[in-house]
Amino acid sequence: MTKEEILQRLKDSVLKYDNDAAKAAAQEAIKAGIDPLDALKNGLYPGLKEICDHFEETVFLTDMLLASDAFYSGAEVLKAKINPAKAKANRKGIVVLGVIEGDVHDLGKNILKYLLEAEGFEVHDLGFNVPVKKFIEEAHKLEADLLMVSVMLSSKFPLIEKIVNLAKETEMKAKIMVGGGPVTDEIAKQYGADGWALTGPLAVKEALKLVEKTK
Amino acid sequence: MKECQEYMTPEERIIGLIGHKKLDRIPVFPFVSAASAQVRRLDYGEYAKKPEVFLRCQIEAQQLIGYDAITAMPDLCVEAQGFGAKIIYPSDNAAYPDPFNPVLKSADDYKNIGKLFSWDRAERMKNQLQVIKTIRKELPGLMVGGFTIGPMGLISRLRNINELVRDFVHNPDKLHEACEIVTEIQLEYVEKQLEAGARTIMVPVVLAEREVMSKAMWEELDAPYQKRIADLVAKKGGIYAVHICGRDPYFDLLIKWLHPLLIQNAHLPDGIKTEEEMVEKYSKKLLFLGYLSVSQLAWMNPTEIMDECKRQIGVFGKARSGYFLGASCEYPPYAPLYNAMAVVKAARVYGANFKAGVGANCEEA
Repeated sequence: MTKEEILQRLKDSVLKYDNDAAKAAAQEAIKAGIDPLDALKNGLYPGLKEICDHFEETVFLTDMLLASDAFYSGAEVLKAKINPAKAKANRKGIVVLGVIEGDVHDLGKNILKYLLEAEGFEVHDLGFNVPVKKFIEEAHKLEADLLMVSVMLSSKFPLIEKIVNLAKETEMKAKIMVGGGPVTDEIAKQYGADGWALTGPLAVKEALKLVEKTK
Repeated sequence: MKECQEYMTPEERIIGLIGHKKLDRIPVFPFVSAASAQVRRLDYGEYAKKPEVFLRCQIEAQQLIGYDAITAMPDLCVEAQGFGAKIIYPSDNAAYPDPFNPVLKSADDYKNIGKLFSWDRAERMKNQLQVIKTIRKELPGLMVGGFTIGPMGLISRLRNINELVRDFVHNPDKLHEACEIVTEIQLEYVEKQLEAGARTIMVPVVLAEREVMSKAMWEELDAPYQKRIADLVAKKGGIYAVHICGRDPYFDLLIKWLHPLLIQNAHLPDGIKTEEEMVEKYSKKLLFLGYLSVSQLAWMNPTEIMDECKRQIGVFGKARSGYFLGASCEYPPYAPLYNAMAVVKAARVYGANFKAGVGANCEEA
């Protein structure tokens, strides 16, 4: 099988949400001597990118989760073979991600995590019900470029301001992005966040822009 | 500000709206539910766990604020409790099932879902029936509504949501089996609520939206079960209301499958760009149940709320089947009740002499 055929198989496995096919194609790539980073970037990633590009047209939240699962199945095999120095050199940025204190809705956050990792971010997922202080502490500790906070309950909007204020007080380097069902651009601005996005794919684009600003 | 003279009971007002009669004012439904805990300065955990307290708060909040309809619902975990879900009652927000210990741990558990439920165990469902009966008795002119979370909504309270979404594609047959069983139990619950005095039954149909799944998937997975509930409500002479608060709801499919009389939506329907277009395209077939957003009710001041109500009456008052002034989702539990009062005041000031399809200040007798 040629390199092009293996890359196509990787891409197709994501488009078909086929976890087993993704793993098998990843193993095939390694066996064929393809650079695992190349296989990730030019095989699995284009599949997920194609899904994201059609979100809310012919592709829905359900598809994003399943395509991400397939991406991960293949990526796990490839990542084990990627040289850590090379992975670091290709890293787009460090993200700390979590769902705000008092909120347990994590579906959107999980999908975003997958999309960010596929894009090349190093993501540190703090899970759900994350206290304000914890977000800030982790962002400092990891020297994050971006702090991404998911908020599905409008009652938790004032906590965005608390995060923003604590970030200023502690001179946090990371930019702050917020998102989630009830959060709008206006709400994000009102509470002082640096960025906002309506959907997962748009959040990845916004993350890339914001990370550029921190450099 | 001059307020109108009220001469109709809430129930007369709502029936009049549906029947295209001229009303003293536009009906109001701010969907105050958990927020009513504020009238007794209770935290939400205390309120949701004690049915007698819940009931008194519901009644006192209506008497204080003066809205026309109640949908008695402490939170979205009433039915899940009957299936053995461990419910967490935070002091500052709505109750939710323990995310670390879902009742359905794998797709293989779906087939046994019926064995998890018993009416003996379902204290919260039984309490709701009592709540409906008592409100009906103590506030006889009020429109009292019942509620069921719907089959897939209930399953989402019993299974990790990420896994449920995977089951939509990987285990549809097992999911169908669970939906069959759950729907039967919910039909019984709906019937009991109607017998207890509920005039409307509200069902969240939150999967029927572009953000979540395709139209084909919704029709395959969720629609047949939701239809059975809608059909039962209609057969029993109740008013069936759909609640849908996600982006781009599939109004066309909701009409095709469920024929709701009322719809409460937080975002414009799929394919619709403006509020005016929504009124133009769908108001012949649906009666709109409020459009004030959760954020507006929580964070605007009463003057801003009244201005927004005036604007919305101007736009949605033209809806041919009718329109309630009110919230597009449950009134935020933490939002100040003075904003609910502002909504009622706005109805009295800007919604006087209201008629479906004409709007306020209708001259026709």
